[in-house]
Parts: sequence; C-alpha cells; structure tokens
Amino acid sequence: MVRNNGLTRAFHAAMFLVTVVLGGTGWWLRSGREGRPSVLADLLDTPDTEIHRMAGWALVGIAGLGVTLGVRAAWTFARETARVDRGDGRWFARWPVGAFTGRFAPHRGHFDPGQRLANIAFVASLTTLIVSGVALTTLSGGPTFATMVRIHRAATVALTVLVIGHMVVVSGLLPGYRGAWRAMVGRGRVPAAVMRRLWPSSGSHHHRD
Amino acid sequence: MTTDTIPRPFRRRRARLGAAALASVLAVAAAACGDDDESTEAAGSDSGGSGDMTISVSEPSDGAEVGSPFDVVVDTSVDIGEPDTGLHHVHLYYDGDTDEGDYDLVYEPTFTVDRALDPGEHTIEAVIANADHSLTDARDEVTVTVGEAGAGAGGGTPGQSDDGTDDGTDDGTDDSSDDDAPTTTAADDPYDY
Repeated sequence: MVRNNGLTRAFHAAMFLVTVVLGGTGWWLRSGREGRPSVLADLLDTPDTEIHRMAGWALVGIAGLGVTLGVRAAWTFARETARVDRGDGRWFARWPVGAFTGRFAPHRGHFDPGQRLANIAFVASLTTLIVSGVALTTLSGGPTFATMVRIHRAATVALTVLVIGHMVVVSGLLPGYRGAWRAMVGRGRVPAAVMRRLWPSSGSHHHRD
Repeated sequence: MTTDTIPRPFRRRRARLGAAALASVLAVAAAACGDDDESTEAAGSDSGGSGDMTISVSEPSDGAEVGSPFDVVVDTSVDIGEPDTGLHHVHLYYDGDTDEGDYDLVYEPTFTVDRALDPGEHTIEAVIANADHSLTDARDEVTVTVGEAGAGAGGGTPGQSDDGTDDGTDDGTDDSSDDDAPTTTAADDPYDY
C-alpha cells in the first residue's frame, strides 16, 4: 500500500536534504568552528556561512513550492493535522504501551494524534527559522539582528529535538513503529500489517502508484 | 489523500498558483543572488556608521618579523563584537585565501594568531564583516615574515623585528608591543628550554 504519493515523498526528501545541510552547517558554526571549513565547505570550496545562507534560501523556495504547487497536499496536511476526534486522549494515554508493543489505541485520522502534535511543532519551528533567517539575511546587523539571532537559535534547538525524535520513531528503535519509515522512503509502499497497526482507518485513502 | 477530499476551488486555482509559485521562486532566487553591497549598507545603517567604515592593522607593522603565536591589533571605526550582539566583527584571511572559508574571527581589537603558519612571508588581510558574516569593503593588509626561531614562543609579539632605529611609532609606554621594544627570541630566552 502506498501511503504517500511521489510528489509528497519528493517534497519530504527535499526538505530532509536541505534540513541536513542547514542543521550541519548551523551547528558547525554554532559550535565556534566558523573560519574552519567543514567537509562540505571543503568539497564545495565555499564558506560554511555561505552554504548555510544558500541552503536557507533553498528551504524558502521548497516551502513556497509546497504551499503553492502542492496546495492540495498542503490542504490535506493542514486539515488532517488540525482534526480532533473522540478517543484521541485514549490514544495518548496508551502511547507508551503502543510504542513498545505495537498495540496502539485506535484513531481515525490520516495522522495519529502524536503525529499531529509533531506536525504542528515542525511547522512552527520551521516557520520561525525561515522568518528569522530571512530577517537575519536582510538586516545584516544591529539590535533587531541580535534579537533574531536568539530566536533563530531557539528554533534551531527545538527543530533539532524534533528531528531527533522523528529519527528515533522512524528508525524502528521503538518496536511499535517498525516499518513506518517505508511510508516516505523509496516507493512509499507500507505493508498492510504496518498500516493497520499505525494508521488503521486510512486504508481507503491510499494511492497506488 | 485523494482528490475527492480536496475542495474544488483549489483545483481550479492550481494553474494560477503554479505561476505564482514560479514567480515566488524567481523572486527568492533574485534575493539570494543580491549584491553584498546592499547588505553592507543595511548593516551599517542598523549598526551605526557605515559608509566611511575603516580598518587598519596597527600591529604587526607591514614587513615585520613575528614569532608564533603573535598578536594582531586592529583599529576599526566601528565597534566590534560577537555576531549575536549585532555588531560588526573582523575576519583575518591569510595569504589571499578569501574565498575558501578558512579565516580567523576577531571580536576584540587584539587577537592572537595561533594557527600554524609556515616560516616565511605571509599576508594578513583584515576585513570588517557584518554580523551576518557578509563582508564589507573596509579592509587592510599587511605582510609579515614568520621566523623559524620564533616558532613555539609565547604570545604577544615576541618575534617582532626591530632594526634598531626609531621609526616614531613607539607609544612611549614600556610594553612588549612597542615597535622599538627589545626583541626576545626563543634563541636568547633564558626560560626557553
């Protein structure tokens, strides 16, 4: 079963790549290594600051394409993220058991209730990073710039925590989520058993490539 | 995600949104390729003073012989500090490598260069950078000779050369950074084992 279509997977892959570059160069610079070229900077023969700036504009472009050319998917994403169903509380209450055994409480959404919270956090942190990043590039310096640096750094920490949590979930370290990674990788085909375990009510919504 | 779950107005507007998306991407690309000079001016106006921004390397003097490590002292017409203060700072580039991202960051007037520079002649270019690390046009360059005997010596300007003549740059104080202060090298330093 194909849970996400090709364009959605391509969007996710593009976001992943640009986030890796931004996170890598961002934390490299944040750890006081500016002026010491990273491996990527050596490969591209470009300072890390410039790579970070260019990758940031790429993120702006990808996000812009996502909410315009991908408006249908963006609408579905927003609607399914905002939904609240009876029983969601029970899903959260049972989550610790489900994460280790795979026996989650049922839910009725395209995303499980935990994913919905994660989606909101991802969008909030990415939006904050984009807005503050554009401001940093535009201002170049001054008191407002200093404020934006603090906001940018706080959002970076938040997004890093989210990405680490996301990686823990999709890696299968938590037994209940084994197989979830297939939804966004390769052809996006997820075994039916995994679909029933993680997204039991979204079986009728699937595309077949 | 199925098409029957998507409101019809979104489907009808897709072509127009596509054009808008392309336009926005082009706008983003244009902004990304913007002239650095604009950001320089923006930083200046926001950070206080810009058009006549200047920097000079007061130590070591051009042509001086230095040990390793050695101090570089810069005089800037604007306050400098760490980027998160919003102030400008200074990049020190060595031997003309200004495009490769290999440089030292200077947040205070005095900076100790402790990177491994081979003995011999080196150029040091000091450039005022905006807080966002874009470079301004304010820059100064000196050429120094890193002496072999100075390698491994202490900080400051231990190996700075002195030809014995008073060139008028002595500030009158008795400190080791005076141009005409006696030179101490590793060879005659009694504490150098």
